[in-house]
Amino acid sequence: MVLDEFPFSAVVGHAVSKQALLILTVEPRLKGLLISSPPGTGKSMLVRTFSSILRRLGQGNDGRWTGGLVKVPLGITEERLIGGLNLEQAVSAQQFECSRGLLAQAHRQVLWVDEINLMQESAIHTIASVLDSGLVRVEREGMSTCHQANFLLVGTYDPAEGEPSRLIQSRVGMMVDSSARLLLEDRYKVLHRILAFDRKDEGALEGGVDQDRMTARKVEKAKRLLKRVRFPREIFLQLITTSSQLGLEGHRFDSFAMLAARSNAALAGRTVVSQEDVEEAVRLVLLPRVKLFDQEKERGPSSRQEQEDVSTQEATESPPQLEPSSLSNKTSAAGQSSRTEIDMLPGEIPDLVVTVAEARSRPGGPGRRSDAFLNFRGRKFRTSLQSQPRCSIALGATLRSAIPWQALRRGQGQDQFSNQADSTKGKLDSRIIVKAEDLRFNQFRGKTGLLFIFVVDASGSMAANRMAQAKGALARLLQQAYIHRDQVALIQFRGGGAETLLSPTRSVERAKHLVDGLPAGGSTPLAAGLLHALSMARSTRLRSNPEPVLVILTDGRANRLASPVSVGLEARPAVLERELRQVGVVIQREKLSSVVVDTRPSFLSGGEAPALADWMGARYLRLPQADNGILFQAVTLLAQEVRMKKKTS
Amino acid sequence: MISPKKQPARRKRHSLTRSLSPVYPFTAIVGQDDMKLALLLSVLDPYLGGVVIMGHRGTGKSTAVRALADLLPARTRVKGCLFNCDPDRSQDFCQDCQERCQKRRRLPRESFHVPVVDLPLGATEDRVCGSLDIERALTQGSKAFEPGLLAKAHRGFLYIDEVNLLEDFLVDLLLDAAASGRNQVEREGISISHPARFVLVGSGNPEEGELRPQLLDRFGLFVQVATLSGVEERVEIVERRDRFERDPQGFCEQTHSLQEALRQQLHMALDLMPQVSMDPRILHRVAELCGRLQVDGHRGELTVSRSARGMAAWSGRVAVNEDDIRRVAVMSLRHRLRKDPLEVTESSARIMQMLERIFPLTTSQDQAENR
Repeated sequence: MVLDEFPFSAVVGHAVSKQALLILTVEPRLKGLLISSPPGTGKSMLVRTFSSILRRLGQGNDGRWTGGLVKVPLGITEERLIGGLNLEQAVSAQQFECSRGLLAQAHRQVLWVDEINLMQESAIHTIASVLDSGLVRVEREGMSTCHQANFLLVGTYDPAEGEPSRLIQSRVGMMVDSSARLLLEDRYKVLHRILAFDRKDEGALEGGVDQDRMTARKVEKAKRLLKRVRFPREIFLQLITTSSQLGLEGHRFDSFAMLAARSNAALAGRTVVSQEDVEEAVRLVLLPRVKLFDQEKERGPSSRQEQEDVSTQEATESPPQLEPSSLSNKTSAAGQSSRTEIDMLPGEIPDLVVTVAEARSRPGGPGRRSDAFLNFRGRKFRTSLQSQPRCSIALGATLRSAIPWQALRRGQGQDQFSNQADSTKGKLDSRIIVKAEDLRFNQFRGKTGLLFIFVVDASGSMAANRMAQAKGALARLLQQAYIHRDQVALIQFRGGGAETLLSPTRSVERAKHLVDGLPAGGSTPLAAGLLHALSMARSTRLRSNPEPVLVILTDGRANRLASPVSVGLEARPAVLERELRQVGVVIQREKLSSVVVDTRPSFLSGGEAPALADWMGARYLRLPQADNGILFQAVTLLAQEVRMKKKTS
Repeated sequence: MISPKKQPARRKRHSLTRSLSPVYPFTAIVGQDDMKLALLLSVLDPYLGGVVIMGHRGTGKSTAVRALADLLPARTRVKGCLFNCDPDRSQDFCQDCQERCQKRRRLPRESFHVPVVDLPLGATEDRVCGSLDIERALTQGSKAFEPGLLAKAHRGFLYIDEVNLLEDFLVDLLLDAAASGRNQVEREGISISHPARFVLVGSGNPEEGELRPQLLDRFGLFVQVATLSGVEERVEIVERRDRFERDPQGFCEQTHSLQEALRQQLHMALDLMPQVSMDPRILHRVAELCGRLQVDGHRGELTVSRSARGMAAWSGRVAVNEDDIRRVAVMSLRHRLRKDPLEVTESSARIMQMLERIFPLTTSQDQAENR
C-alpha cells in the first residue's frame, strides 16, 4: 500500500487534542475546536491528518461528513467568505448566479482557520454567525440567497499572539491547550517518524496506518452507538451543577458539555455516561472558559502577596501622603525649564507640545504593514465612483450603471471599450458595453478606530490617585467610543510586573467590572509596564486594527528592572535608566503614538518622566493634580492628531 | 418605465430557511420571561418601536426571535405586491399599487405570512435598500427595481443579530427608514419610494461594543437577558434542546398544543387592542415617572403607555391598570436614562425605586377602581 499521507496516529503528542478531535467527529453538534499551541509543534500536521481520518470514515454514516479540509486564509475578504456575484459567469455567459463562498463550500467538511486569533473581526463575526445557524445568508451585490453550511470549525493559534475573539470562543464546543512540552524521547520520535514518512517507510511509523484504520472504525462504531448513550440523572445533575458553579455565561456550554461527555462515552464503547466522561467534558468544554471569562473579575482580591516587598522598596518612594495643592503647580511652572512641558491648570485646554521625536519620525518604519492593504482588507461596505490606488472593481455596481445605456451604445456600434470576455462570435449581441465612466470601485473599511492603552503606575502612594485619573478618562472615552469605534485597555504595573486589567474593549459593560480598590503599592517596574503595553499594541496591529495609542501615567521613577535575567542585579539608577532607554527606543521605532502623563508632585525635583517621553518620542503632559477632565482632553487631542496622520498616510 | 415586477420563480428567496427543519418552538424556551413578553408586546403594537435584547451569549436571544415567526398571525396584502402593501391603507401604497389603484377600484387581496427578515452583518447597501435588477435589465431590457431587505420587511419584522456590530452606513439606512416609514431609493437611474414600516428587533452582547445612541433610542423596549442560575432550569434547557435537535418534528408535535394556545391568546389580544383604554390619572403618573427619572424627550412616556396597553390586552383586559405599568416600565425606560459608564446603580434599580414611589404596591383600592 502506498503511504501517501502521514497517519493521524503517528503524530506525536497532542493526546488531548486528538481525543477532542475524535469527540468532535462523533458529535458534530459540538461545532468546533480551538487548539492553542506554540508554533512548530505540529498543529497543521494534526489538522491535516485529522481530515484523512474523516475521509476514511467513508460514506457509512449517513454520508453526511466528507473528509474535505477547507482552509481559510487570514486575509480573506468577506466576498470570498460569504460568496456573491459569480464574476466569471456574469461576464462570459451573462448568467447571474451566486458563487459559493468558502463557508458554503465547507458544508459537511472541516473548516480550518490557522491563527484564528489574528483573524479580522468582521470575518470572525461572519464565521461565528454561520456556525450558529448552519446557514450562510448572502445579501450582497444584488444576490439574495441562502446556502447550507454545516461544518466543523478547527481553529489553531499561538497563544503568545493573543486569544481568539470571545465571540468565536463562545460558539465552539471545545478548547484545548496543547502546549505541553515534549520529552526528549518524544522529540526524537517526531524526527524519526517524519523522516520515515519522507522515505515512505511504513514499518518505521510503528503501525500508524493500521492504527488509523482502527481509529476510523472506532469512530464509526461510536457514531452508531451515540444515539443509545444514556446519561444517568445524578451524573447529569452533577455536570450542570459544576457548570453553574463555574459561573459561565450562557447555556450553550451546558449543552456542549453534555454532548462531549456523551460522545466520549460512545468512543469508549460504553452506552452509559460515567464519571470520567463528565470529567473529560469539564476539562474540554468548561474549564478553558473559566480563565477567559473571569479574567477581569478575579484579578481584584487575588495577588496580594506582593505587599511584602513594599516595605523594602518604599524607601526609594516619595513621602506617603501628599496634599494636592492648587498653588504648587503654578509655582513649579515658573521654575521649569522652557522645554517641552506645561503645567495644567484645571479647566485649561491642554496644548500638547511637540517633542524632539516628532522631527525624527521617518516614513515607512516597521509596524505599519497593514496600511498598504487598507484598500483590500476590512469590510467592503459600499461602492464609489472614485478609484483609489490598488482598489478593486465592483462588478455588480459597474454592470448596473452600464445597463441603462446599452440600447444607446449598441446603436452607436461597438467601440474599443466593449468588453472582450466573450470569445464566442455568435454572442455578439449579448455583449455588455462598459465604458470607463461606468466603473465603480469597492470601498473597504478597515476599522479606523484607535485603541487607547492606559498604562498606569500602581506602585507607591499616589497609585490610587493615578488609577482614578485613568479610570475617569477611560470612562469618558468609552462614552463616545461609538463615534470613532475606539477601544480602551488598561494595564497596571506594580511589584513584580505588569498585568492587563482590562483587555481591549469598546464595552462600557466590561469597564464596569473593573474592580475598585485594587491593591496598590510596591516597587515600580516601569519598563515591564511599557513592554506589556508594547506587546498589546503589537498584537492589535497584527490584526490590522485598531491603531494603538499609549497613555502612560507615572512619575517616571522606576526602581525595578523588567528583564528576568537581571533579577539578581541591583536596580541601580544607571541600569534602570539604560533599560528604560532601550524600551523607549523600541517604542519609538514602532511609531506608536503615546503620551507620558507625569504625575510627579510639583515640589519634587527630577526629570525622569520628561526623559522617558523623549526616548519614546512621546508627548509629555505634566499633571500633578488628579483631574481626569484635562487628561481626557489631552488624550482626545492626541487622538485627533493620530486620526489626521492616519488619513493622510 | 420603472416598475417593480414579480420576481422570476427561478430564484427562490429564503426558501431554504423555511424548508429546513422546524424552528425551536417559542413555548419551549425556558425562563427569560421579560424577553418573551417584550417580543409579544411588539407584535401587539407594531408602533412600539421594536425590541432590543442584550445580554450574555447563549441565552436564547436569537432562538426566541426566530421562534416568534411561527406565532405571527397571517395578514392580507395586495395580491402580487412585492412590498406587502396593505389594501386598506391606500396612503401607504407603493407606486405600483397606486397606479393599479387608479385603474380599478378594488385591488385583489391575498393572505401572507408576516415576514421576519434577517439582516446579516455582511449585507451590502444595494441589497438592503434595493437596486436595479441587473439580470432582468440584461435579459429583458427592462429597467426593473429589485426590492431590498427593507421592502421585504414591510409590515413585518427586521431582525439584526449582533446589532451592535452593524456597520454605520447600514444603521443610517435603518434610521432613515424607521423615521419616515418609507424607503427612498435614488441610484443607478432608478428613483423609487416604497413603504417600509417594520418592527426592528435586535440582539447582541454588550461586551462586543455599545449600540449607537440614536439607534438605541429608536427601539421601544430594551430587555436584558442573563444566564439562568438554577440547576433545575439549566437541566431543563439542555434536555429540551437535546430532544429538539434529535427529533425536531416529534418535539414540535409535543409542544403543538402549547403553541396553539399561545397563538390563540395572541390573536385575542390583537382583537382587543383597539379597545384598550387608559385612565388619564394613570397617564398622568406615567408622565410623572418619566419626569422624575429625567428621561429626555417624550418617547419614554409614549412607550410606557403603548406597552402597558399591550400588556392589558395580553391579560384580556380593556383598561390599563397599575400592574401593567409596573410590568413594562423597566423595559420601556432602562435605555433612556442618562448613562454614566461607571455608575454603580443599575438604571433598572433606579426605575424600580421610582416606580415604588409613584406606583406603590399598597394602593389596592385604586386598582380595584381601575378594574
